[in-house]
Amino acid sequence: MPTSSDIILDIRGLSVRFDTDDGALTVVENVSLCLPRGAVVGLVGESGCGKSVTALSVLRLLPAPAGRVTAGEIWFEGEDLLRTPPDRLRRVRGQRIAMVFQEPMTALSPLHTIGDQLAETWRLHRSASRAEARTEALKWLRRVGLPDPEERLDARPHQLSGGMLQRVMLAMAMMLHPALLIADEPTTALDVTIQAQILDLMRQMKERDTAILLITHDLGVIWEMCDTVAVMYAGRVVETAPVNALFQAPAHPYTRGLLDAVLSLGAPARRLKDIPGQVPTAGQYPPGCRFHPRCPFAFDRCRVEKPPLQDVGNGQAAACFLAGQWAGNRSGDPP
Amino acid sequence: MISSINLSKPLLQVEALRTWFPILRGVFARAVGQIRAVDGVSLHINAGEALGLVGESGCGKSTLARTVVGLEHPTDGRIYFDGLDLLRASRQTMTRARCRLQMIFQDPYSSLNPRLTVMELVTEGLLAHGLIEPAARRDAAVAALREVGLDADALSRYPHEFSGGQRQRICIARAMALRPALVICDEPVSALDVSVRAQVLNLLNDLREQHGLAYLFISHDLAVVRHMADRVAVMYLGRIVEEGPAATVLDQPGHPYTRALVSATPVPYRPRQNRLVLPGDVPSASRPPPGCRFHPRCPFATLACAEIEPALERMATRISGHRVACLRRNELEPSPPL
Repeated sequence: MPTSSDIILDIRGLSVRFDTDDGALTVVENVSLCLPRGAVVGLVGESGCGKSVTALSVLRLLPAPAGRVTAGEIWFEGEDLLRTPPDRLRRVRGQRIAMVFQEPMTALSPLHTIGDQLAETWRLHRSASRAEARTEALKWLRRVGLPDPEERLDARPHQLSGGMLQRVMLAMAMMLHPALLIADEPTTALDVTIQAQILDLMRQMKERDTAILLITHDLGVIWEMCDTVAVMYAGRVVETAPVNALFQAPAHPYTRGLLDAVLSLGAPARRLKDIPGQVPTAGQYPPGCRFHPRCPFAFDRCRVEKPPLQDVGNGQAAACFLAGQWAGNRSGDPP
Repeated sequence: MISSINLSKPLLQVEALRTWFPILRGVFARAVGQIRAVDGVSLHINAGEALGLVGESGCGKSTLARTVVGLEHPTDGRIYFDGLDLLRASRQTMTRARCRLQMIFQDPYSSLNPRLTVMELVTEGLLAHGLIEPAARRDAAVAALREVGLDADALSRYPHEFSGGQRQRICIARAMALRPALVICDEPVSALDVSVRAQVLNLLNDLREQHGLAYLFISHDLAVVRHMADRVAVMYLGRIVEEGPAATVLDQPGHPYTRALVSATPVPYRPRQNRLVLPGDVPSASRPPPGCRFHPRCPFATLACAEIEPALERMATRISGHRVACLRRNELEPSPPL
């Protein structure tokens, strides 16, 4: 059933399986996430942790037939997107849910001009004449700070840099004023001064009450942008918390390891703390807690039993048997 | 194999280097313009020193590195390494010098030949330079791998069997096997996950300490450079706009471009204040703006900035090693502390 009206997106118990040469692999397991209206929720984790697959599932854009949702519900504005008929889903995507990816080039048509693509988006979802749509397109290119917007209207994607294309994608996302923006590593390929412009645009969307699911591996971006954060590791959510709590008192050893490995702009520590070992890939996930082979605090129970996400108070939860002891203990000794 | 390092002169000295690429058009490939990727850069690195080179894509930092190791041909300028004039040295001298000057690239997926085993990859340079006999290959490979924390059981495997972090270790082993004095690291950790990145940075610091290595460390990530470098040079559109000790350049940046970079870099735990967001994009290196190349995007630019090209000069209130190419360097308010 749909939840209270303040919740825009409610992912419940999502599991996704991919058919591969090595058999069927579960790459996302029992993931639950909640986005309130106008909130920015970060989904952070290293490559292969399942964060992008989670986002693609919301949009029902998993590569078929290899990838499929095997369990769960995705509630958005009162309907379960996993059970929405395709033609209705097409209206939801674009109009109510917008998306931005790391590679804007792949999301735009190479054959059509920027202006035509923006105008087309407008005309698809709003009844407007060609001229009106073109004016609207120009207005939004200006809003996102694209240099020489009049000329760019008639440019094709290959004539623009990655940073300019990402601004075009955001113009396309912003013009329909969606309830939800899914941004998958939107600034990863961009330089920091251009990243700052893109993050600024996303803040403007938030101010207009758009909820944002921001997927990134960059903890600096998470810190700057997010209200709450979900940390994923090896296909599972290992911690969810309000952003300040996550950075000040991480309740999962993996989160703690990630934060210790973060570099600051201040005087460097002589040695960085690293997380030993490698990020495991699907199909080679260890039993019990999937982080246990790399965890300095693992004990017998971690090797056999899967730790459930347990509430540690103040909206923070972690999938660790020691979560209770970790909370509120950022700089302290291990429990 | 071990040659003494001349202490009175820098290990690497680059003088007024220009690397331009012609823009070719038409059937006769006529040059219709020049991309001025590196446009008058001078810098030096002392033995055992790590110089960080930062800047955004297209600023010329990779072209500079590739020119120093001989992968690009400079249009003008001088490069001295270990007392040798690299652009005028004989082929033989060059080959010897190359041993002591190694490079590590960003993408450990494309920089290793997929058809060679790890043993072949790691010892390829040693054999090519005649530094070991073929019979000694295995022992040399084992030693090289041990240095980067990989086991001997990697020897007969191929690059695709390794993760990104392990591949970067193989690249490092391959470079270190030749006992270099200077290693140019071009975005060595940009393709790696956070947890693995820390491992590789620690390894690079350990190797530097053990062997007295010098690094030219290129990165777009200020925090990585802050962690790795003693000195920092900031590039914009083919030129160095600021240079000095890492701590002063990044904590109290003098050039408006460096200020913007520091301000725009998202760093955890830093107050989420208003960021200095630069308008527009980096202009094309084929037609750099007149005067100061940064002036069209600079919030502090005056009319003079569009006419006079500023030279790298000392800031009045800073130590002599901190130089800034900005006409207004002595009148701008110090940037707020981080």
